[in-house]
Amino acid sequence: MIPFAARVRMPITHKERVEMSFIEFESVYKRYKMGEITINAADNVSFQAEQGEICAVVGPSGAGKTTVLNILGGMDSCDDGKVRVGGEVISGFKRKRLIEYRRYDVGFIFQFYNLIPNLTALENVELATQISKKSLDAKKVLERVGLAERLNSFPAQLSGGEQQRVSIARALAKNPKLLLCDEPTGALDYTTGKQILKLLQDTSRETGMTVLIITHNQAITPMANRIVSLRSGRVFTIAVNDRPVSAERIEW
Amino acid sequence: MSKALFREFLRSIRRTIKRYLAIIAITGLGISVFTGVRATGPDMEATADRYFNDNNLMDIRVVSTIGLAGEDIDTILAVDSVEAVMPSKFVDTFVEKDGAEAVGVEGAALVCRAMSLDFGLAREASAGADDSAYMNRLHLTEGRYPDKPGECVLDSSEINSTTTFEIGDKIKLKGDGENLGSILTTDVFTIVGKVETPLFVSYERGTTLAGGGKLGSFIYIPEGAFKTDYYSEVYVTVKGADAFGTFTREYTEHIKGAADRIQAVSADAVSRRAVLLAAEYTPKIEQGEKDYAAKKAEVDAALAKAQEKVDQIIYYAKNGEAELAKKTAEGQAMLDAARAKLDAAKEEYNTGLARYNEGIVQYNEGKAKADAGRPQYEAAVAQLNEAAQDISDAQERINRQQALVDSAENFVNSADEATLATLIANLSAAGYETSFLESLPLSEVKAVISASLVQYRRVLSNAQEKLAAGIAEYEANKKKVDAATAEYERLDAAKAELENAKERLSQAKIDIALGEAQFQVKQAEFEFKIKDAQRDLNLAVANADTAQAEFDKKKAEALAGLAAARLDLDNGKKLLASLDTASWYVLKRSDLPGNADYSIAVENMDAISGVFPVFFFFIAAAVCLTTMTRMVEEERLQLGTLKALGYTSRAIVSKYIFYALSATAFGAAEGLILGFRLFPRAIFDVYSIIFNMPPILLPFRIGDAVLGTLLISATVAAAAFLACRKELLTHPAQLMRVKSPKPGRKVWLERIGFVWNRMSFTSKVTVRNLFRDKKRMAVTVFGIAGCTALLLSAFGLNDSVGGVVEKQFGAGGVSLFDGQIALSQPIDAGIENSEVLGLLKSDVRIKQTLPVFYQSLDAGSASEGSERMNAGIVVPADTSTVSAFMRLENRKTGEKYQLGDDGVLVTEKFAAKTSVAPGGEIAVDTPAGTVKLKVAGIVENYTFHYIYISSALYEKAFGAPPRYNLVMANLADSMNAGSAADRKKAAADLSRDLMNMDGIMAVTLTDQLIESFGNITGSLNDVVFIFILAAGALAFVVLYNLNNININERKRELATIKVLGFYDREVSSYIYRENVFLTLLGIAIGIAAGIFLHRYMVAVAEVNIVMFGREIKPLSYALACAITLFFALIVNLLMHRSLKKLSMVESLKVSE
Repeated sequence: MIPFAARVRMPITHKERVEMSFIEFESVYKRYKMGEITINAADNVSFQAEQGEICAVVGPSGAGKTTVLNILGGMDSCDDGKVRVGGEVISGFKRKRLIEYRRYDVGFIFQFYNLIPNLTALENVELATQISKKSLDAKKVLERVGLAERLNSFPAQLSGGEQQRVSIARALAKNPKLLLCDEPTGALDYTTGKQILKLLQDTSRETGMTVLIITHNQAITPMANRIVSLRSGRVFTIAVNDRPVSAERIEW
Repeated sequence: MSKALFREFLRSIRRTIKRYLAIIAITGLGISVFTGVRATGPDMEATADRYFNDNNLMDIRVVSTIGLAGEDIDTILAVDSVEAVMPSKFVDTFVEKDGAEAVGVEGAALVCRAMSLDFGLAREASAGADDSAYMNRLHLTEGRYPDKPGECVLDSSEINSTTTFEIGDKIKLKGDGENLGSILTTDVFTIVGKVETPLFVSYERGTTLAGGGKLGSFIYIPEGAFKTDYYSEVYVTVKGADAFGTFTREYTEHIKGAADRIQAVSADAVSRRAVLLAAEYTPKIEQGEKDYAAKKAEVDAALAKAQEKVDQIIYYAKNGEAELAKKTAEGQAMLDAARAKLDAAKEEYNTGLARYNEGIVQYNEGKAKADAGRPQYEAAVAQLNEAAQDISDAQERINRQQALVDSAENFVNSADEATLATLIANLSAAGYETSFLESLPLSEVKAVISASLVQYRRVLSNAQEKLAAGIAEYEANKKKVDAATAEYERLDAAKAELENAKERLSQAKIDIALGEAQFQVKQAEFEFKIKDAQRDLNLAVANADTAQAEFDKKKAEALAGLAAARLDLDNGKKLLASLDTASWYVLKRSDLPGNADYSIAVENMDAISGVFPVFFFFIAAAVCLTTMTRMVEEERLQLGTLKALGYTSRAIVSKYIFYALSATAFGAAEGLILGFRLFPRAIFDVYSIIFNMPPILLPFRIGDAVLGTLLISATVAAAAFLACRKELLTHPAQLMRVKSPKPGRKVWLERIGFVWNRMSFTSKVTVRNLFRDKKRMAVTVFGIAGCTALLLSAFGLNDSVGGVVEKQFGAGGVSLFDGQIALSQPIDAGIENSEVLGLLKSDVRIKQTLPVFYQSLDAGSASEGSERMNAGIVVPADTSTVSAFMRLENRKTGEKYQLGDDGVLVTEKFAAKTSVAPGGEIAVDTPAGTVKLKVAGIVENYTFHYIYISSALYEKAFGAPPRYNLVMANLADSMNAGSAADRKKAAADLSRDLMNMDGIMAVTLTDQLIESFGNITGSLNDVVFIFILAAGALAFVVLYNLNNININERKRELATIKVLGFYDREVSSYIYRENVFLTLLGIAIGIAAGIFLHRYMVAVAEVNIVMFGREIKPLSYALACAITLFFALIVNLLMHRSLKKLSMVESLKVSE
């Protein structure tokens, strides 16, 4: 495990482009057949995101945000097109390789936290650190997210925000390349939500981790470096934000 | 229920079809086991009963030791409540096929019972008649019924003999100590058909007095084949007995009355018959003995004579050869000499002929020569003759001259007149003139003569010279002529000789031809003579062989006839001797071989069915409960909605109850059909290896069906109701909210920091998960424990039942004796005087004996009206040696007992059933009244009930000394030597020899008992196997179902860890570890529960007469665990598969 503080800091400006983007969606299709009707949850989706970016994927319900997230997280496959992460074509990965991908390279944060109710906060994070090669110290990560006092509490004893923070700690502790967040603030109130977003932003800045946030809340977008807007499974707009705003100052 | 709700109900079935089917399956399983197993015992009884009734099986069989006469039959028929009688004759014999004796399966000669039957009845029955006088009806499996006395039908079972018998085979019956000639009209029978009879329902055929004591097979022959005028047995049916099941107590009691009444009339009937027999047989035997003695003397004399003759022939046959050889040699030598001589003569003749021919040739040559010279010769001869004449003349002259000379000399000398006279004579003879001399004087004459003398000498010498010459010439010529003559003579001689020779030769030729002819004749004669002699000798030798054989055959025939007569006489004598103790045996259906075994089998099934299925049942019910609970929990949102809409609790609950009950209905329907058909038939099929019954009846037993259905329906409905209740008490609003997952809680184990901190992370997770849902944990453990317990008790029951034989008869068992020998007459005269006992003791194969009095009586506890059981009173003749034959020890305390005079020893089961303890009292029913006995101890025992009493105590208690009628025997070590086949043969030989001894009625060797018992328990094994399968299926269903519930409940959690990147096997392990723990825990508890269940089952399943062993073998433990683990493993594998398929996306979907 690499001590948190010794992590190398990487400059993150959109001007510095690497030869290949860190995340690349290339004409990705995801089709669902319901009898005679075929629905394209993802319809020719193409976009890129750079390493160290905070990328927001926005859109109304049913736009395909979750589909994109699922594919990117290695939980689902696409029917057409290519998906590259860190240079590797993950859309071509076999089952076992996908599991490894999820294990070492991806951290997931869910809208409803999905903590194991039977385990304490510390144990929930340890669940993740046990399986990752280069994981961080669970205790320290929890302290980092401000839950030093709540290590031995069960999720039922934590507030929503605390639970989400445990969830984040769990994702971070794995020390992944990529952090995927599905409506991280969806179940939280305004204040707590902002705290969470700040945490995500700080992490991204300090560690250079790429963060992808799915949300239907447009108000969050100012803090992101890139905004991908989806509608009905298609990419509507892609906007690059030169000057991302600090999460504390976002209002909604 | 509203229409919408009903529609929802139907759809929910479709939606949760797996769950619906699971409930059908588990209820079906529970019901089918419940009803099926409970039905098996009654079905088996019903089948047997129907078989017995359809075939009019007798209720009572009466056998008399002295046979039954026609009036005895009438007496029996007249007894109150007797419906019909069927008298029959039988004889037990050995069987020969193709000259070889048939052998039974224990290696001893097969004993077959030939029973008489009026086949007209059988034919009528086949055509549909129902004559009550036709009992124990035959069922023809092959062929036809006999038409004539030399035909028979044979037992269709093939188990009892190693020889196979086919239709068309001829068999010959051989009596064992009986003269079949006086019992049957023929002893050769052709098998024309094969039959089954309800008298023998298993391969056990019972005992017999013939052979080794074990009856192997039977044939039915026409009544006409029996010569005897009495019956051997009579079959009896009792009025109204058909109404009762053969194995029920009511039947036994119903029959008892008739049996007792028959026994009551037996005494008179027996003594009547005894008197008649004595009157008939005594004189017969006397006369018979006389006749026999006479006949025997006759036969012996004739045999001796014949044997002498045979010996002669044999002697000649042996020695004639040598003599013939000698004579032949001599004759041949003579012939050879004659031949040689003849050949020499021939040789000589040939030489002579050759020489003769040569001689002829020479002679002819010579003759030719001689003939040529003959004229010369003859001339020469003539000359010679002349010469000879000349010579002789000359000689004469010479002589005269000589005479002259001489006389002249004489004259000269003498000058006398005499001489002168001579001289003158001679001169004149010589031809000189003499006249002048006469005139001269003498002197002158002398002078003249002297002067002439010279002349005279000269003439003489000239003449002599001439003569000499002439003679020489003559001689020479004579030589020649002689030679020639000789030649001619030789020639003639030669001729003569040749002619001689020719004659001789022709004579010789004739002689030789004659001699040759004679020789040929002599040789032919010789050969002929020798051939004759040889032929005679061969004939003699051949005859010698057959002579002995023929003699032996005739001897055997003669002796056989004698032997048959002897047998008859001896048997007659035996009969007379037995008249005093003659009696009737009144036997019932339960005495039929195989019946007792069948009834034990039925009792076993009944006992098991009381326990096993119920247990099964409860597990099935528990699973239902869990399933329904889960279902209700899943649908709580719906529940809340319905409640909010205003549906009553009752309406909502009814949907779930209806769901559960409808599934149960299907399950019950399927379970009942399978249950009543499958289990009884499967179990019965196993038993049909030993039992010969028609196919099992499978009636639908309404009582059990209703009971089972009600029970399971009630359980399931209750489960559904309980599942709903909790939810329905909650507010609708709460229901509609996602159920908050159970809060995580500190597990009590965490408080033990010492242990908790040392546990690995994964262990901690597992522990937490386990304790999270205690209900699920409990049900899983319960299900596994139940399965293991069922398996263990099933295996254990198997061990216990099988263990009975081991524990009773095996090494270190209770019954230590090797055999029991039943005596035909009790030893009354004192043990020292008993001949039978002496015989037994002197047999080297028997090491030790103990005479025993054995009687079977009803006994029970001493309290009033207590239940009576059949127990055997055992009174050993000598209490000091009992321990070598029976182990009299208390099982629980280990106390070893000495049979004393202060009390009796009773066996454990008897004591348990009568609740008597040492110091207490028991009661024994005798014909004379009830006797109370004090109990001194309780001994370990597993089969039947026994009461051991010392002889002194017996006499005191029962008022009469014991009459020893049984001998326990321990065999010598030599009987245990060798291979299993050797031991079997030795045992069979011993049995046979003992049976042949006078005074012995039956022999039972313990090994035989073990074997026949082993067959019964062997089939029980198979029955247990069926249960094991059911238990395994149960375990599988429980585990599978609960696992599914488990996985479904934690879908979200499992999906999360999948997302986290857990490998498939790690995801499975997440669940798996809990399963392993629960399975192991379940097995542990199951073992404990199984032990108790087994004990309970054994105590309940024990049949009256047997005490099952209480131990479970280690192998059974191992198997129970192994099988449970096996099923758990399969479930884990299936679970792994379904986890792999678990979709993260679907599981994490949020209800938006």
